[in-house]
Amino acid sequence: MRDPLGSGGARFRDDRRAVSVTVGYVMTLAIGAILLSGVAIGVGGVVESQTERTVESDLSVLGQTAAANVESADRLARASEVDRSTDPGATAANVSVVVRLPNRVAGVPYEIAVDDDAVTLRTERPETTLVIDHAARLNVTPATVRGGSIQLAYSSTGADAGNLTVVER
Amino acid sequence: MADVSVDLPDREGLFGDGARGSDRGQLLLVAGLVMAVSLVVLVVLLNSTIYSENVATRGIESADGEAMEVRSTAVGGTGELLDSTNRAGPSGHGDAEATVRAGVADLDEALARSYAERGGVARVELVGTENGSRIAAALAAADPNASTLAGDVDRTRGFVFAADPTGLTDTDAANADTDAFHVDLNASAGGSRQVYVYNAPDGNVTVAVGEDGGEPTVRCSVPPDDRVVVDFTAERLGDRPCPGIWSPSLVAPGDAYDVDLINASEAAGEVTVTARPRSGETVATDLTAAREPATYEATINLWYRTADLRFETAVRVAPGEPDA
Repeated sequence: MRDPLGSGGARFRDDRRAVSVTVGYVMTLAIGAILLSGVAIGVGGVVESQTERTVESDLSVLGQTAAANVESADRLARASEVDRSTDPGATAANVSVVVRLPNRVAGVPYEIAVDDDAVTLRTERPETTLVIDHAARLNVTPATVRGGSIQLAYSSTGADAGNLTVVER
Repeated sequence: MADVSVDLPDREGLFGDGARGSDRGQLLLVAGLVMAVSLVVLVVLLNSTIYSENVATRGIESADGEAMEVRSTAVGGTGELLDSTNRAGPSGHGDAEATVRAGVADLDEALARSYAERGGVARVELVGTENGSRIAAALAAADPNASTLAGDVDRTRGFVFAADPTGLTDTDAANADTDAFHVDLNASAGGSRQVYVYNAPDGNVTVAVGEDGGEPTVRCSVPPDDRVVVDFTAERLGDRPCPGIWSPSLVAPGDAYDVDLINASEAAGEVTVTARPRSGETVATDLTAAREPATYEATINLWYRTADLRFETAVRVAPGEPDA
């Protein structure tokens, strides 16, 4: 029977030809660098796409919340005008609703624009814009504010009398 | 057997010249760091998404619900207060106003207590009242042909005729102007509206409306019952809506008008009305015995505040007025 690790195997183990520490080292570094780059690129893409999805999802939720509260403020403002008395001593109609929203979505700052028809939320990086229509019947003074808590206000007196206004909280 | 044991590296191997080979571990370190940071970012994003989805599925809490409820409670409570004060038959307008003022103070206290438990601050304050008269009489007390129920008034509310169907005349729309009991709303600026109540040939209690004495048009009818209530200002017959009874021009007119009862002998039942005179505090009527001082309307200031909401308004309360 032939021994597989016989005299030939012993020769292979002892053979140091074509073996270079430098070549091995460079090869290891190169393969490691390629692997590392692949991982970084792959994971970076996943993170980026997940960030976009999260931003869109968050903006959608925040937009719906803001639009619902614009409609709430509108209903309250119109209710404050129903059978309103202007007798001496009667208070003016004043409505204010604070909407608590986060300053950032998925770590990204955003801005909120409100006008007569819709609430628009926008981020720059990633570039995302989301428009949520609202059904407020009162005029809404167009305004753009930084993302975060906002205040919706209405008054029967003052410069913006009869309009819904939006300011940063 | 093959030798798979590995000797532990000595100090020289780790830190000496022979340690150069361990530099390769830095790559693994950097790769691990990148992976760790990426995973942390992914976890944060996932957390954010889960939170957003959670918020989205919770539904959006409407901010206006409680404020509307406070307004409704305050207006409804004040309206009930006005009606109960007037029904009790106050000795004079001063007495009526004092009762309303005390009632609004009680309402304020009750509202404040109720909403404090929910984290809100509610306040109601009476600004003032407008005086008028309440007239409640059996139709038999009126002149059988024509009488003024409320003359020279500019607002009317709670104008109700509780009819006994057995006492209503049997007729049809074509003959209603001569045969049927009707209410004549006569505007001083010109124009009039007649509201007829009679038993139609089909046996139903019927309400028909005419303009300036012209042939009336049937608006609605209901089967007879023990009592059929015709609410002229709320525009209802029995338990059904009956739109078109009250003239839109008399909802908030700039001029005075008269409310007259014509052919009172052709019906049986009781009539009740609260009205505000164009001038003065007492409504002119032919049914003086049935007239009592009343508070026609009240104005209240209303405030409601929570951490996120402020609602302030002044409301004119006059329950049972016709809608515009």
